Amino acid sequence: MTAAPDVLVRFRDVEKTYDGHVNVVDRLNLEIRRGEFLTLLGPSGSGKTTILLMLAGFEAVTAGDIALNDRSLANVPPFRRNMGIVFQNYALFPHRSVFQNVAFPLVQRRVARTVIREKVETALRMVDLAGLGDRRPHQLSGGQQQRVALARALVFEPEMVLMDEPLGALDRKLREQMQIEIKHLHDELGMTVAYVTHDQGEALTMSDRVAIMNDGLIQQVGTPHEVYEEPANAFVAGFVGENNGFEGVVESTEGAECAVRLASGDLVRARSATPRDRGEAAILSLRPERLSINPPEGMTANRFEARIVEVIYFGAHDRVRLAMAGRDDVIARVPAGAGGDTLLPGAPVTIGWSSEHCRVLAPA
Amino acid sequence: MTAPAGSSLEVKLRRAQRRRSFTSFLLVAPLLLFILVVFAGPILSLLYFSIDDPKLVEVMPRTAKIVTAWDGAELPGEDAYAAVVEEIRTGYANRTVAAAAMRLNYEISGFRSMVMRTGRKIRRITGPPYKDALIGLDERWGDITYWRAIKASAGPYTTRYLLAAVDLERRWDGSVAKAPPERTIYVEYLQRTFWISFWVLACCIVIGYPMAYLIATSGRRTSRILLALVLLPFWTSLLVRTAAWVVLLQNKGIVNDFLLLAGIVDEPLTLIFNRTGVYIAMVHILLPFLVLPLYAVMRNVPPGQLRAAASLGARPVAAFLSVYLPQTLPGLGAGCILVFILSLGFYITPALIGGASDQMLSYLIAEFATRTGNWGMASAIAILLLLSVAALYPVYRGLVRGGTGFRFG
Repeated sequence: MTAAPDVLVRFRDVEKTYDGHVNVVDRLNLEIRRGEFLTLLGPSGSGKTTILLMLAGFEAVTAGDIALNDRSLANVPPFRRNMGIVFQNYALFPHRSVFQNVAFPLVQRRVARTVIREKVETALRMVDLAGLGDRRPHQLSGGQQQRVALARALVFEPEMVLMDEPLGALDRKLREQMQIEIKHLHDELGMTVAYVTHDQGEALTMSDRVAIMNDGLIQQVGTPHEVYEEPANAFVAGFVGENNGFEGVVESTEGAECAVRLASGDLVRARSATPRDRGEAAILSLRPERLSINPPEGMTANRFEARIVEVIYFGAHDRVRLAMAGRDDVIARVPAGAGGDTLLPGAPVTIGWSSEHCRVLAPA
Repeated sequence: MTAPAGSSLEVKLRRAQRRRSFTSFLLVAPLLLFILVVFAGPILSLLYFSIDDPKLVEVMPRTAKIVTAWDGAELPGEDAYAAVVEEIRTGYANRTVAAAAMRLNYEISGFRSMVMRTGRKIRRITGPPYKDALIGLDERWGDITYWRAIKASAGPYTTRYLLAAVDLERRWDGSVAKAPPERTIYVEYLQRTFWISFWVLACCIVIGYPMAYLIATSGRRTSRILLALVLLPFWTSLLVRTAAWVVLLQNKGIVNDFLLLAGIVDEPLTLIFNRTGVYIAMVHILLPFLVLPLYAVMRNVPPGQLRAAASLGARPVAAFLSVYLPQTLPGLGAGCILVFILSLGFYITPALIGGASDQMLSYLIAEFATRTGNWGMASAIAILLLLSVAALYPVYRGLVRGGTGFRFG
């Protein structure tokens, strides 16, 4: 963290509206660094795909500017932006062979025939499709089609690669495998990737940085660890990973340490990334895996009496639903077998968590 | 899975397949019957009519037999004259000779009246030598070309109609040669038919392709409205639509009124009874046949293809030519073949809107079939039309298959 990061793309006050009333993208200021894997994560309709389309040049920017290498893209048509795009439905050319599909961007750039052959073969080998060049796209499986799309977007060594929910159509197992493969490709080739997804697991696994979008606004930009462990607001806390949220009022502060009084009267010790005032309304965020059942005496700052409502078997872990502080939807995640035979519905338990794992957030 | 007796499984499979193919046969049986009766039947009878030549041989069987054996080099002998005299005599008496005379007139015009006149005066001939007597009645009986005409009409089958349909004729010695200029109209009609169809098709593509693209790519509401506009002409009959164009295109019609009012022209354009009017009306009538198959194919082109091409560095024109157009070729091919084949057979529209030099082959068919009753000629021209359509099929296959390796459907 010495020199300023090498910025490839800079969004400056970008706005986009389709109907003239509502901004689907609002006051967007975002930098994409050279060589990084940046994911735009958000629910559908949050504006993440629109950002990608504006970057690719398929949608015009209503206000603001997008710059690539410090040069505005405003008057650069899509075919001159030199960005490889992997579409959600792959958009392979059905009337052309796999080889011709991958060769297409090179043919458009009038690359010599022998060079094309060499580059396409290298690209196909890279995505494990060597020998399938003569097939038509419809003769391939979904995963293979995905790889062709990837090879086609990479073969011309574009300035950066945009991916719009590229794994959305694959089944779970294949999706996880492709996540790793794309990540490896990124590490090997060092390309810049802007990736759009609504799958938070995908975002956490693959990205260098994640930008979380909601209602056209960026909620938080940070490393996967940051957005998971230090969510900037209640939306991020709820959207990334599982979360227990408690509403309350700040009663006292002592540095980062806060005491928050819940509506039930219980007092919870938690930490805040930003200074809080007494009497301020706040949301407490607690990850289910940070909540311990029957913790050893004196281990945790917060201890409460609770009752088990339900235990749901998840294989590698159990999800325990607890009743406490006047509600019955507090979730704890317990490694399989850790609770022994004591976790039975109706059983009274003591639960606890340390203050550093409980974050004070502004209400959404 | 290994069945204990592999053959019994095969037997079961075969039985099931037989049952299925029998069921499918039953399902198509009504269609098969329908096609045999109304399609294959008429085409076969057409073929037959175009070579059938029974008239002379029915009325003058003996003459026909003698001239068939005659070599045609010099005037025939006395026996031929005797046969003609006798058969014209009986034929004139029971009024059958007119049909044979009509047939002979196809060969040499004026032959009909010559036979009828001979019939009127036949009672003057009372005995041999018939040759001199007949030449005495009408000296043309001494002209060998008339005898050669009888030989050519002797039937019972002839190639004259088929040859005539391509401006050829058979000489008395059996050789095939170009017909005399006054009869060589058919090839010109064929060329004109193809020429008009070609330009109608070209206009349909230029107008219809962007139209289909717009319908296929615009939103639900817009595309439904546009599609309705394309289909609208189908709701009125061809005759009504053609008649409407007569009203619109005439010198004091709406189109000219508008052009004058808008100051685009100073005097009314001649839009009717010429080629322009024929093109306008035919393109209007045939446009849906191009737009509909194209639309169906375009709707199935995966979305985002042009965007993908652009993102890979293709300029808009290159993207269209290398990505979009090839994927729509099956629809374009189907639409083109429909429009072209339909326009080859157009009759009403050129007849009502075109001038004398804008008529197509169908006009000749109608002319022969309804006005002169020459079914042989009508059938021969119909076969010419049928063959030209059949010749187009490989072109279509080449366009659809060779172009993209794609299958239509």
